[in-house]
This record gives sequence, structure tokens and C-alpha cells, in this order.
Amino acid sequence: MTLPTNFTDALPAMAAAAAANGGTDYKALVLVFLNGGNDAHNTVIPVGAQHAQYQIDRTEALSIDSASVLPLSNTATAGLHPALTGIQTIYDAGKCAILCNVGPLVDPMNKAEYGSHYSPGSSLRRPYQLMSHSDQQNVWHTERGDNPNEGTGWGGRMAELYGPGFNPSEAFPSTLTVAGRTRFMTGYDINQFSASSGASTAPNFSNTGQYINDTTDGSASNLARHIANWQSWGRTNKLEQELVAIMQRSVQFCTAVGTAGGSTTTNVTFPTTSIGNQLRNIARMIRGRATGVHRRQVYFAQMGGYDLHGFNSSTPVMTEHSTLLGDLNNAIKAFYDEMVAQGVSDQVTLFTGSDFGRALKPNGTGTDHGWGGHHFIVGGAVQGGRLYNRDVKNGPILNTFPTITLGGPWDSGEGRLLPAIAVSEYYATLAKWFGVPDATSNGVNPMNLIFPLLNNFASRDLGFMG
Amino acid sequence: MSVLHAARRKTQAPTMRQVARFLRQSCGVYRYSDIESIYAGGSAGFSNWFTTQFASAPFGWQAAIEYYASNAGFMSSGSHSYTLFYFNHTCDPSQRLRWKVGHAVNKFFPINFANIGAGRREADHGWLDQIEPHLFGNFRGLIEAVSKTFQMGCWLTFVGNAKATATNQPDENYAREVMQLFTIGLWELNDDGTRKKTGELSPTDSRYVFGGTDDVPTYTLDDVRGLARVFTGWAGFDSTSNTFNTSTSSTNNWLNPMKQVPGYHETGEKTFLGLTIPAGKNGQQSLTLALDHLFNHPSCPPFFCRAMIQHLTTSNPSRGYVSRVVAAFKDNGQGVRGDLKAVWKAILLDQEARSESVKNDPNWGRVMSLHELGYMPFLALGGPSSWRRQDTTWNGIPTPVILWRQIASGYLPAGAPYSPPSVFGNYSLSFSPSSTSTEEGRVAPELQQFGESGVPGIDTYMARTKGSATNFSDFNGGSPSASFKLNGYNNGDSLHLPVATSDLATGTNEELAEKVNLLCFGGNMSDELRAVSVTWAANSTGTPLSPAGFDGTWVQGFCRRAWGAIEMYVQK
Repeated sequence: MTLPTNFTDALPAMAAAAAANGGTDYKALVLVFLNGGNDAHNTVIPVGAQHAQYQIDRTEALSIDSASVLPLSNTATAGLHPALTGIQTIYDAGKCAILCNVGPLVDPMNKAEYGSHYSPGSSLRRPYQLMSHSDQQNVWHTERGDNPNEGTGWGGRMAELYGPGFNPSEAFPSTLTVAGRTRFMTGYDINQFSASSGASTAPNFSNTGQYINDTTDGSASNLARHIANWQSWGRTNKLEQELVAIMQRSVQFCTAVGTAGGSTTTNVTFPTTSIGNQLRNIARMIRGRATGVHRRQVYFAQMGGYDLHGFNSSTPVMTEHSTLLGDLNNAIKAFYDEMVAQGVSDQVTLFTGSDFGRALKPNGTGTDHGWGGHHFIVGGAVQGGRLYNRDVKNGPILNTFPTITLGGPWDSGEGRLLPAIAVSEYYATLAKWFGVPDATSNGVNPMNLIFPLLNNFASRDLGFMG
Repeated sequence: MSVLHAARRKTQAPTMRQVARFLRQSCGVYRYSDIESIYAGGSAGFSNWFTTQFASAPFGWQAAIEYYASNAGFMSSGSHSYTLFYFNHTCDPSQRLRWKVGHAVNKFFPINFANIGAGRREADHGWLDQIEPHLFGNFRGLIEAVSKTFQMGCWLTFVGNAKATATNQPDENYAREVMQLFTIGLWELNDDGTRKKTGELSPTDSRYVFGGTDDVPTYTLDDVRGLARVFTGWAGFDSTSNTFNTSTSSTNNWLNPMKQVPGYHETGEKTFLGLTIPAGKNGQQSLTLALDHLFNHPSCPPFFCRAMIQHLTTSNPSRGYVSRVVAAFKDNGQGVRGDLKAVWKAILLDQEARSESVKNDPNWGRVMSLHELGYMPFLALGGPSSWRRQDTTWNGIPTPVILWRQIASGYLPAGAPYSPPSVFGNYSLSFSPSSTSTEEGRVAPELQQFGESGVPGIDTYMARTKGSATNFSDFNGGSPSASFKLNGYNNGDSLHLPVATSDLATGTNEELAEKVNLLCFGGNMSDELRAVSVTWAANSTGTPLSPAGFDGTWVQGFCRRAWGAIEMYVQK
């Protein structure tokens, strides 16, 4: 598909942005997606006056008692799950911000306007298919809670704009995933590169494979020859066309990605968990990048297992959640430390997303799907060490924890939080830091192209990136 | 199309290539003898084949696997048995359709057995033994069997789910997914598989909007909450009259349907999707009413049938194709709804599936999954003793020796079969690799497994499969863990498929090339690919290879050029 004309119209503004700062700076965004719907209620936990009611609503067995909650410096209203010691350290150092009760929205609304699950309280629009894993993941990836058929993700749309200006050489992909293909990075022309998350292999090759060169009929690899044949025979099957496109990117980029990441070690020892391996491979690709050639990169990593409804094996959900958050914590801490060691911590920002938060009211042995949740933004450029929250619809951003208990102002039912902050606001704040101009030029505002819903909300910059 | 026209087409005898194409869709992997057998049946070949396949008994995994475990040293208690399921079909032609539609159905109900029952092989085959009898039965029976397996109870967490208390509500997990993924889907559907619009609803429906063009969600959270009350009180087979048994170390629990534990089922009124189950109904009664309601929902036939078409024949079926299969689901011709035999025949014998012209339609076909691709080139050729031990058989079935973990997992970037990361499976049926496809409504689900970094591994895999001069495959079997190693296997043994005993053992070069076409390309190998493969084969050792009769080097050279071609990946 060709780039929409309004995207083409935005390219001069992006090129101008790329030329600023001497035209050599580097920035990367790393999304760590918590697949399955992380239980935000047990990740960032109210302390002080609200804790007792949280524990009553959640029940003792499925809540974190006050003595176990990790305290946060200069933060009197919230603390962390006990497994998040590394996040605590980074937060206390001012390099991690906590964004509270953020989630997909189309129109901002308060509880009365939401109404009930079945009966809307007003004509304000809700995101489609709330509480469905696949759909809410899509909304987190596309920003388009109003459009189930949106094919592009905001990472992909953003790359369409920054690619030509910031990464003029096509020697290296602009969007890279170490967790399989993702809607988040799907663009119009631009294509994500699916790199390996393997434990012991280079990020270019997922396994022991390498291109087979068959010298008996020339120097071309099998793959290159099959692609060339397919093209010369004028084939039209669209499935084959898509497959060939993947293979061509493989041939085009594998060597470059391998050169960047394959021979590069890290300063820090990463945990050998899935998310540890993924972030390690991202760190290797960042370290091995050709300076000044690819100046903007978006990375995608993902952890599964967060859909903790109840027992599905012999491990209680509280134990499983603790293990997951421990793995997340250790990987993020290693990644942040590695960015510091590489001297790029101010240029690399890691942030989390998830399908949804979960209900506060439990189902006996676990919890069910919710809506809004709390998220972490980690990096040297982050205005961290504080909470970012809203107490009323479209209200000012506060440094206090929201009321999350049953019957509270954000309870849409069973403690499924009606988000006070939209994913659109969250992402626009990151995109602005990344270098996307938020001004109309040549008839278009690049920020609005990437986030078509942004105009519906009160804030275009929540402030956590300074 | 006129009735006369349809009747004439029906009586045509298929060519060998048409049989091969049919078998690639219906089995994925097949032997030359399967093609010959259907071909010999002439115009009745396909229908005779269905009759034979439908008449075969389910394999009965529990007995087989216990036999292997005690006699072949094959399955130690810690290993999982799904790999056996993967191999059996190569040995037993009567199981081919069951194997293929079983995979389609298992992708529709994806469970990760190692996740729920680590170290319990009966978690795998207990599921197969409870599901397989329904593959040629009725969808209503299938969905009830699925809903009562301990495996699904564990996977979607409703085993041990109890009625609401003051502080707890029933677990919503299965109630949501049984609607979203297993019966009716998220959006109301027309019989042709397209989404209904608000303006197309009955004007008496509260969601009706005059001229409305929005899609219609099938259910709300309140429906999920209402249905969640149905899935209460279920626990493992070893439960007693008043205690939940949810133990994953009980063999009985894995091999038998769950049962109700009185006192834990919600006996109050339950309302969802316009159905009210009156107060006082017990667990089984409530389940029956609820599943009847989902089974009879208008979206159930198009939701299930379209998914099955996508897993078997084409990722982007026409509306007409979906409609015809849905019609067979709704009425098998004898007034029965949900007859799966009618569904399989409708999918595989449909004019669109059998049409020769769709092969040139740019939007028709499906990419083969990596699991299928991994086995197809090996097994299509049929391997003798070095692939299986002939001396250890159960019901005449030789023990498989090659295991997924030992070979393909080292190269193909797709996990082992039956190990999806979540109930959303290894890949999504709505996946599109590019925004262009999405906006045009096209999908390529299997391509979700093809990453740029994985392509070299696939290429390598295909190359190594081609093997040396006398053997297909030069894979080293490696050092499998004890639980995956058959008696008599030595670490490092190579896994060979000798050309001399394969389906490519005899014939002129022209005949061998055609056999490769039939077995590995479903009869769809292009003339161009055949030509370059012949040319290259002739040059592969520097001298022309054109012996009059069979020559292993020639057929290897031919396959070396042909395998891994783009057209091999896409089933058309």
C-alpha cells in the first residue's frame, strides 16, 4: 500500500526535525507488553488510608498486605509489589515514572457517563470489545479504540514518518520486534523486522540456520534464487507475495542485524528468562548500531502468562504473579543498568503496556478481566520518582494514587477501572520526546496522524518525559 | 450453476493431480498409494474415500501409549505424547482425515498441555481420546465434550469454580472464551461469514439502528457474567460428593470428563444472551441448556465453518463458499444441525475447493503451517525401517522414532505442536502481515509464524531435508533425552530416508519428477519450476544426469532444486 498523502505531506516537517540537533542524535523506544492483562491492582498498591479497603475488596488471600508493599520515596499513597525491587530502585533514583489508571478510551468519560456494562450512561463512545484480550491488545497497539479494522499500529505509523528523515539509509530496519509480528509495528510501506529472542543465538537468526549457499549452480543462496525465480515468473498469488516480502527483508537485513547484535556483548549479565533474553537482544542491537545511520528505533518485547484467572496448574495465582513480576523486574533492571553502562540511558526509554488491568473483586482463586491499569516508564529522560494520575475526568495531572476501591469514582463494576488517562495521551507524550512535531505544517499535524483520537483528550503531554 | 451442470461435474473422474490437490487439503501428508487408491475409484473416488475415513475407529491413545511406554521404552512418565499423534497418520492411511481435521479442531480449541499438566502425558492423550470420537460426530457433542474435559477446566480455570459468595464472583474465563473463541465469536455474523450491521438487525431488536453500518457485538459483559454462573461446580473425576478434586497428578482426572460436586453449582436463575435458565437447575441441566443456546445461535455455524475452511483450504474463502458449508452445518440433508461429517465433506468437496480456476485467483489458498511444512517433505515420501522400529508394534502400527523436538524444533521457528502460548493459539485467523491486506479484508494467518530471523532456519531445514545422494535428510538425531529415546537408538544416529525404499524408488526421471509434484506440491508444481529443477539436476555433479531408469542422484538433485520454492509453501 502506498503511504496516505497526508503522511507524505508530513514528511518535510519530520525531515526538519531530523536535521535539528546537528542531525546525529539517537533515541529508542522499547515497549514491553504484558500479555494476558496484568493485575495492576497487585502491581502498584495503595498504601496509607486506602490500603485496608483495597484488602477487604480484594480479599486477604489475593492481596498484598501492607507490611510487604515496597515503599516508594516521596510517595505517600502507593507502593510496589514486593518482587519489584529493581523498579523501586530506579523509581527512587527518579528514573521511573508510574502512570496510573491508563487505558483505551475513545471519549473521556466519568462513571455516570459510562453507566453500566450493559447500559451506557451517555452517548459518549466506548472502545470496542472491552475486556476481550485480542481486541484490547489491538487497541493498545493501534490507539484506535474506535476502529476494529485499523490495520496499522502507532509504532508503524510513527516509523513511516521518522524513517525517511532519521533513518535515510535503509541498511537497518526502523522497527524491530523480538517477540514475533505485532500490529503495533505494522505500517503502510514500512515493515517490521522480526528478530530472534533466542537465548544463545544472534538476534538475526532464530536458530541454527543460516542461508545455504549452493555453489553448484552459482553463488546465489537457495532462498535468493527461489525469490528471483518467483519474481521472474510473474506470480500473482498474494500469499506468496507476502511470504516473498518477508524473505526479502530477511535477505536484506539479517546480515546488518547480525553484525549489530551478533558480535556484540552486553556489559550487564541479563537474566536468562524469556523477557531477559528479549531485552538482552535489544540491548545488543542498540549497542551494535551504526552511529548516525539509524537514529530512531522502536523495539517490541513481550511477556506472556498474565491472564491469571485462577489455578490452571498447581501453582496459586499469587505465586505465579509474583514470579512474573520478578522476571519483569529483573529484566528491566538489567536493561536499565545496561543502558547506563552503554551511556545511552537518556536516549532509550522503556515503557509497559498490557491488554487491560483486572477486576478488583476476585473470583475465588484469581481475578477476571478489567480495563484501566498502571504502567511504568523507565529511562534517563523520564521525569520519574512520582505518580502521574487524574482524579477527575480531564482534570489536572496529580502526584497521588487514584481511588481504586469498589464503588469508587473509577469503578465501572467489580473494580474494573474506568481509565482516567487515555493510551492516546500516554503515547503522544512518548512520541513528542521521540521527536514528532506537534504542530500543523504543510496542512498536517504529524502527531494527529499517528494518534487520530488525540484531539478528544485534555492532554497532549502528560509531562513524564520532561 | 444449473443442476445438470453440477451433476455432470460430480461424475467426472479426477486426474492424478486433482487427487493430489484434494489430498493436500484433506490430509496434508499422504503417500503415493493414497493417490492411486482414490484415482482408481474414478468418479466415486472421493466419496469412497470419505466413507472409508468416516468408518475408521478412533485410534485409542491411552492403550497405545501405555503399550509404547512399557514395551518400547519410548514414553517415560515425564514426557508428553502429542508427538505420537503427529506421527501416527504416516503409518495408518485410515487415520488421515481424522488427523487433519483433528488438527483444525485442535487449533480451534488450543490447549498447552505442558502448561496445565507438566510431566503428565495423559493430559495430552486423555484430551485426544475424549475429543476424537466427536470429530466425525456432531458439533453439539464436541462442544460438550470440550467443555467437560479436565484439560479445558484447567486451561481456562473453571475447574473448581464455585458459585458467588459475598466477596467472590464466579470465574468468567471460560464463559467469555467459549463464546468468543469456541462458538459464536465477538461479532454477529451472517451465514456468509460477513459481519451483520446494526441496520440489518430486526427492527424489534434493541440494538437496531435505522441505516446503521456498525458491527454488532455478540455479547456484553453482563452476558459473560450470566454465563459464568453456569460453569460452576465442575471438578475432576476423582472428586467426592462434597469435595473438589482439582489434582493435576491424578491420571483419572485427565482421562475422564469432569463431574459436578453438589453444593458448589449456582442454582439461582442464570441469564445470558436472552436465555433465562430457571432457578433450581443443576450443573448438568444448566450446561445442557447453555450449550444448546450457543449451538443454536445464528452466528455459531458461520463462525465455526469459516475457521475450519481457513484451516483446511483457503485463508480468504468467498462468501458463497462459507454459505454453502454453513448450509451443510445447519442441515446435513436429513434435518440434522451440526453434523461434522457433512461439514468436512462440504468444505473439501465444495466447487470452490475443487475448482481448477481458483489456483489462478491471487487471493485463494493458504500458507501451510510450519508444522505441516516440517513433516510434509519427509513423510510424503514414506519411510521404512530407519524411521520407525518395525519390531515394536501396537495394533500393527510401527513405533515412531523421529520426534519433533529432535529435528524440526532446531530449525523451524514454531514451537512444538500443542504448545500455544495462550488460548489464542500459535497464530490468529485474523492475522495480516501488512496493513494493505488488513484493509482489503484479507488475512494470511500462518504467516504470523514466519519472521525474518526465522526464514534462514526454514531454508536450512528444507535444504537438509533433501539429504545426500542416497538418502533424503542428513539430520543427525542428536542426543535426545532419555524420555524421548527409543530402545536401540544410539546418540548421534543419523535419520535417513533411503531413496531406494521411498515412493521415489522407481520410475523414469520424468515419472519421478511427476511423483515429486504429486507428493510435495499437491500436483500444483509449475512448469517453470519443473524445468529449472530438471536443468539443475542435470548439472548438479557437473555432468548431465539423465539415466534411462531410476537414479537416486537425479531425484535428489531434482528435489534439491524444487524444495523450498515459494510455491511449495502455499497450498492452492
